[in-house]
Amino acid sequence: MDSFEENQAELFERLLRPHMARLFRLAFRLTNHKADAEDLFQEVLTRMFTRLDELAGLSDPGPWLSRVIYNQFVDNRRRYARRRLVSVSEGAMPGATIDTVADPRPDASGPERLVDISRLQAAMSRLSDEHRLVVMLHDAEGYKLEEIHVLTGDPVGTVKSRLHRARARLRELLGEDGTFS
Amino acid sequence: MNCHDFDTQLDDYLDAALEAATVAAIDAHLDDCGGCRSRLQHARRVVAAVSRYGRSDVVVPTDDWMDLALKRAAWQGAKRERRRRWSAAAAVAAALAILWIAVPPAGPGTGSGPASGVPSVAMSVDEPKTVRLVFSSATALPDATLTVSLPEGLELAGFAGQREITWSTSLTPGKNVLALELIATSPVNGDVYATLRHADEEKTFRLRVDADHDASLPLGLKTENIA
Repeated sequence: MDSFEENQAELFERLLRPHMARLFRLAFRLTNHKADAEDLFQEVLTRMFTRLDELAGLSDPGPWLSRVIYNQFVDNRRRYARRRLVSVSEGAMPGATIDTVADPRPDASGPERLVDISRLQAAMSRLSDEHRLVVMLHDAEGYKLEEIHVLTGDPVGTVKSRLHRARARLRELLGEDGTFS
Repeated sequence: MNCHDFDTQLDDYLDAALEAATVAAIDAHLDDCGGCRSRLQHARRVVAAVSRYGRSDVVVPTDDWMDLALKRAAWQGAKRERRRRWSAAAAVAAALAILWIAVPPAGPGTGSGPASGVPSVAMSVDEPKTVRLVFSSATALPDATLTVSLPEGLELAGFAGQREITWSTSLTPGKNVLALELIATSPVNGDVYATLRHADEEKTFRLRVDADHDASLPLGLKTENIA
């Protein structure tokens, strides 16, 4: 790296660092798999470096960065479709269910909580990808409906409808017999 | 307010997205309805569980990993930027060639083409036929896009009902092969177009497809660049 590139690298780090944890969590929510999230995250960081001028010009780069990660994820899915055309022997899409989640660490111990986590994972795995993503972004990551709209490009009404349907399905799957706490 | 009304507004109630008058009506209903109180309690438990689960299931990498990721991104990004500037210039001079090959190469339905010189393939309705798209590129072309346009009655396997499919791709120096499985859903006598774009360069190529209920005509195998 020459001195110009080193200065760019310093600026890059200063701009990116405050957003990295949130971006990684988003990558994980999208891919549902730790190794895939790391690959997606690294790829987006690398692309960001080539768009440093654009990044530096933003007053609040958070939503833009989230959008870049989402677009890269969608693009990767398209590339996957292209690879499918070449290879007829590939298996199912990786990371399609929450069963592949990496290193679950319940924040409270105890057999009852572990049972709940297990039941929740099983219920989540029965949601569609769209519903799972919306409910995880909203209820687990704290995204507002408007933020999910900015991220995915889907209308707020559609996002809200998906959220409500996803929750209704979870409530149904987890029963109302009082055993889920 | 009745139980059905409550059910339809339950999630908005949970998210505090209702006006005060509606909240008051729901609260009044809840005072009198044990079933809805139970449903509300269950709904709150589920949302809380998702929130707890969200805090617990993502292992955010360590600071060291993040530092390394930033350094790697800066190093690779700088390298990619240098390569992009170089390849953008090189692409202008790059000679792109394309070849449609129907497989099997000498099997039924392929052979010497019509006098037009347009590469062509014959196939039968509802019988998939794989064609190989061969790109020859003098240089690496990262971030190129390829668009395949199909005539009425012809589909790409996995893309039912789509007449135009676009995806990103990267070409390496030399030959790049992409297999496309075509399926005719009805008799077809039309052209497939493949357009490859990179930077400001664009090349379009054509493949003639003749699909009937009984494909027996030997058709050709040639190349054509109409760009």
